[in-house]
Amino acid sequence: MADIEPGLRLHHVTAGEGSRTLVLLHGFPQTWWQWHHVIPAFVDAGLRVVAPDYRGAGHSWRPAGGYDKVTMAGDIRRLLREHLRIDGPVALAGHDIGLMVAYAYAQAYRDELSHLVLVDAPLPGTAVFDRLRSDPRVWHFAFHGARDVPELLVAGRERPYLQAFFDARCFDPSGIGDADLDLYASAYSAPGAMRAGFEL
Amino acid sequence: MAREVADDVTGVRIPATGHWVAEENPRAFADAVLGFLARTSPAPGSTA
Repeated sequence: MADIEPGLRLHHVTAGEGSRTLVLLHGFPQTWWQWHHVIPAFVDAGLRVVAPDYRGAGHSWRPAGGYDKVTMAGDIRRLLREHLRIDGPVALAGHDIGLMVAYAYAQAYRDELSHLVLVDAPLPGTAVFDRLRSDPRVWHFAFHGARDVPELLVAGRERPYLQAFFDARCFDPSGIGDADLDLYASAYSAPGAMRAGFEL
Repeated sequence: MAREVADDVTGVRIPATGHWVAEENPRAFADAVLGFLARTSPAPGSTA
């Protein structure tokens, strides 16, 4: 756990001792655990890997606000620069919401990244993003943005809600097994966890 | 999409995956990322 600011500690996993750092930013409704299959390959390739749970997710704290991607990118930068004392440029990979945080990081701190890896989510501010907003597949953008109602409807049903999320977007259902779903359901059933996820 | 905002873009499709790319095909995903990281940055001003 890293102290980022008063009221915010970030949980993060590190692996490897390499001189180059790869930072992996997860998405919704996941945690750092989404990278657990691939971290060993990155370590074997000589990289130092840092996989945080971003603000509001996993074991990280869940403040009331600050879920805009610029603030969340600042959280990650503080983790890397001030807590882990990583000085040189890092490679940054983001998936889903993590992609949006990674993009905000790249915009704000371009010189501090060697590579930016964007995995399967629309980039805010692009025509692709604007077109997608009206696509029925992203119904959750509007649903999660409604004040209080999604919390009301999902409370007590976190596991099947997450399961529906995973099932609707997979090619190979074995990729996220029952044990993984249990882990995510537990994480997002914690007090305030869904509220934090809906703030994204 | 990324080319709307960046000049030096490498696109890769990871086979046999939906949205959960790093879990559905971890080997191909890791190889793609490592292949990309093996590239060094182009010189400033390059449009490669």
